[in-house]
Amino acid sequence: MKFYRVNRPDVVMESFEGELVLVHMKSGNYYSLQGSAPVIWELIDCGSSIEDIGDQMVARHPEDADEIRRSTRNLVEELVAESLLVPVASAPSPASTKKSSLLQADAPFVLPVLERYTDMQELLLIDPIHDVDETGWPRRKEQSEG
Amino acid sequence: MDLTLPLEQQLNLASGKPADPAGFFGAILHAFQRASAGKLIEHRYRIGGKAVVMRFAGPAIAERFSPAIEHLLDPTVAAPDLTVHIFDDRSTGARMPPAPWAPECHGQRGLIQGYNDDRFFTTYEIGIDILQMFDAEQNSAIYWVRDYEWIPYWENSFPMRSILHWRLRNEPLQAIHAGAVGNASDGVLIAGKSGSGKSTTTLACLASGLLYAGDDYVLADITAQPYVHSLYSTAKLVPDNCERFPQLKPLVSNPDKLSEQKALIYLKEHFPTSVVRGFPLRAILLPRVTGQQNARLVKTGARDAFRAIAPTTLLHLTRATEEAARKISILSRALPVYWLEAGNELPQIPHVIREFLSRGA
Repeated sequence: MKFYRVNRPDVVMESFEGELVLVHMKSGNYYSLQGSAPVIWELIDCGSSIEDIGDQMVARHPEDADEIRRSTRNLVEELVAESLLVPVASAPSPASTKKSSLLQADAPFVLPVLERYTDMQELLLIDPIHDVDETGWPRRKEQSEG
Repeated sequence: MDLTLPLEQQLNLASGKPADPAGFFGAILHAFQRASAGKLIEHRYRIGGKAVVMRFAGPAIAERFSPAIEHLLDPTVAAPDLTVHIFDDRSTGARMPPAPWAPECHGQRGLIQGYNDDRFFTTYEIGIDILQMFDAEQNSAIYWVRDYEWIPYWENSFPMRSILHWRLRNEPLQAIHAGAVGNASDGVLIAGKSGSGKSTTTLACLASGLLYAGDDYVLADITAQPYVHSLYSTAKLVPDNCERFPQLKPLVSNPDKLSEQKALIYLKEHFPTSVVRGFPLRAILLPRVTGQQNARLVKTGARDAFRAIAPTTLLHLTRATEEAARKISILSRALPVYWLEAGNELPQIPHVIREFLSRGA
């Protein structure tokens, strides 16, 4: 069984009708989850394993079983690659009490989509390399050398 | 860096000594007292309804920051909700105590490991050499820069932005990357990341006689009737806007530095009746360039407001958290949201906004 946790506090999120907006506070990237991706995200945040999510979705849409399992796995791989989710060894603690509010019996399965926006990254790419000068405070290398 | 560890576990890795933010805060407050002896300048402000006292160690540094917040002066404020101590070594001859942390403690975005917890907020920006530290228990802050002449122009345009953000983190107030324009009774937020047209829109409105509460950072009150409080009365113009608004050129405060800086204008000085402390909000407008003939408003929703405001605001403000995102979300959902599609002529923009505001609630 593969479990994941949301990479808090680095990731903040907000849900809007049918879409989840995520902001990664360290990378500077932000994301939009659409289609069935917000449901998958919420199930993970509720402590479900990737296999369990597949089972729950397939139970509602047995005709799309292969597509559901494949696209769920691909989405989770992308979310991990973006450091939005972190693999964990066992189910996160709230798993037994939290339930997804988005998983509804009559909701169709819509191919999950992860859109990625990188235009904020430049705000964070500040060179941390520095020396400490005689006053006991760091200076950028070129500053202390000049 | 793990800022979530309890303070006693956040060790200064090189020295092996426990981090001591309270001790360091006390030491630099003492350094401020020495630096400001005989030349203390104290200004009192009302910012977002809060009483803020700024204590400057002499005129050199006071003159750097005062113009941007001059419109918020309120000498009647008494017990402060926040006191900020502001000094530099160069103009005062002071000597800041050495940093007590190891070089490895400098983290992303200037955060110092071991000196950030529930009580203390600390950043040091390498390169511009600015230390900011806030003690949430005492509502007291320190802003130190090595040399007042090195303060970058953007710091002059939004002084104490991080410290205000830290102080207001538990209030129904949120500093947001947006402008705000309006009339005597209400107004609109102009939101979007840098380059989206925020400044062009707010400056076009200012030129047309609409009231101005900010063009870069404002303070949103997210209670039942959203309200915008002005933070700064500085306009930063990119070169394109210097050409679009030739009437503003003579007002630029840094005309000899435009090859490396944005043009900076202190609006309170030149538009004393247009710069206001705030107004109730009627809508959020998101400027976008379409190339069409006429400017117009096109209805959209909270998601687009959140996407325009949250990433840029959360990434600008150090130690912004889920709570800040939640406040931006509340604001985004509380107001109607429109794309402000710019037309070919700048005066169309204030015309569209005036028309919107005249429609009534």
